[in-house]
Amino acid sequence: MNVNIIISDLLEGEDRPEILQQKQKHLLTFLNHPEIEKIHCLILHQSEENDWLFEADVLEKIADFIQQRPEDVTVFYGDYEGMYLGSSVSVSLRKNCHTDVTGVEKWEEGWKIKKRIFSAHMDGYFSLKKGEVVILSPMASFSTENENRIPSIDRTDRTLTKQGKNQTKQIERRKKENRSNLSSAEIVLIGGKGLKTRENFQKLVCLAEKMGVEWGCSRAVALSGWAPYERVVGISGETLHGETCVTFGVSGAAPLVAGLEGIQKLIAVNTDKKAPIFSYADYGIEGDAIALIEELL
Amino acid sequence: MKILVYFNITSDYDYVLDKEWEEKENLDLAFVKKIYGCFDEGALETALRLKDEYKEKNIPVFLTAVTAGLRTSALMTGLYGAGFDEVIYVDTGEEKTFVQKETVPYSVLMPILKEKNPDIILTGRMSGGLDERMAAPEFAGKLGMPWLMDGVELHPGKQEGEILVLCEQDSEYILYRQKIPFVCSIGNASHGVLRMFSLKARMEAKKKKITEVAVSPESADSDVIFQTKEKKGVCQWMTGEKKELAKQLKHLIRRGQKEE
Repeated sequence: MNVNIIISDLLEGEDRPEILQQKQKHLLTFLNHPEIEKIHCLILHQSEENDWLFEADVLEKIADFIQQRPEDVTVFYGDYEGMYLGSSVSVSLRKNCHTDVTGVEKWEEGWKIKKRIFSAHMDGYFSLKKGEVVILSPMASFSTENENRIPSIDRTDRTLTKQGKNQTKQIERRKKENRSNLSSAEIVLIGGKGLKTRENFQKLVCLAEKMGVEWGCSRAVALSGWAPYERVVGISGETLHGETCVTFGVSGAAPLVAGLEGIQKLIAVNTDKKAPIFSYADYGIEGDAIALIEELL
Repeated sequence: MKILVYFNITSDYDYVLDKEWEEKENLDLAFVKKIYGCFDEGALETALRLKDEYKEKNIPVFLTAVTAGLRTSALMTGLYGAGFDEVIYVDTGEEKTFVQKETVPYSVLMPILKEKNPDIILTGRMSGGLDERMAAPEFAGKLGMPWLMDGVELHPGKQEGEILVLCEQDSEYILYRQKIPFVCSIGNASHGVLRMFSLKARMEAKKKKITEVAVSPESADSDVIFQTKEKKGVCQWMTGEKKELAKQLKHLIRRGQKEE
């Protein structure tokens, strides 16, 4: 199989070579399969500071690149702009698009992509056909088994030019105030709705601060207004890759557990011994999470 | 101003036991509580809040909600109580398989979208079939509209026909000024839960009819092969008094070695 990969960093308004390099490395490691013969890589650069995502020139350059080899599979890195560009270009070229892909595998009957379906309660394998578009999930993990194998790469650089036709104008940007280092934190405490009240959740935050570790929450907690969305762990939030995670009053709904798959040691505290979280935990405490937090404080 | 929200009704998967998921394609979710798709609920509430803001400016807004696939009368008529002006159900006929029941071929909605000719189309980021996140780009591409991804808030702009759309990106929020018409997928909406409404509004909503449109879908069969998620292994239980448990827990957190 031959593959096109598209790499860009359009949101920051200036070329950041280290980010482009990181994305390329991630894609190449993910595609490190002995039966992937040739990789054609398109790297997009900005010509001036601008908001490039909605410029028609971006999609045109990507479409031209794909059309040179219409039977090759095209892979995008699944961050915000990769998702936006990949899905947009697949619609404009009328190609089938697989989003949030966590794996690409060769089966006897052909290539398959793997992705989480039904809110991460199941994995689904879908046939990957010639010419289709794949957008990797940022949660995708990959084998480093063949790390030293370098597939043949043909690199193309294109500089974008502003056309100014788009109807979307950026007027303000602000960094996420509560942005944490959840994804890279070594130790994380997570609270769920089992903590019952905002006050109890605040105790968990105090405990994390006292211990000098990061804290996160389930989506249900954020929906209740106890914590900002930036702290949500799972498919609609952050993916953890650290050493230890302790969950307090988290039942273990699949969308949250999907964000814990990179954790090396999971400790769960819940009153319900049958809670799904214990199926994924290394250590379990059947007990009152609130009382334990108070004891730890 | 015409705003259309495409939403899905799904089974609440969190209430499905692990052993039920092992049924895979034969899974029967008829008994499971039905809910709005989680991001779709945010899209519905975002549209209602935009309508409220236009109401303060004395600008009329007609809100349409469209769904297909699973149908639950209470969830559909409830939208009238919340403030929607029209609720449409697109009937694709009898769904046979588990996947067909739980997913929606959103291509069937195109005739409705064209007929309604909305200024803004909102939909939850995951809506559509099998968590594809492709409904918004598909609608935009087929209708020739621009689209924005992962909106969290929409507000009226200063000029007529302009909307301020706050989008959540990887590390920041970006506020865009967007001319209508456009499509926007809603992600972690600032108001992600549909508003409560009075019993009176609920009773009145029940009297209103859902507009039904029958269509013949393209083949929705998928070659998907299901696999239940792998469990990590055996959980090692920690027991003892509260103080002892706290001590053990602190020890585990601090030591950091997996095999103690």
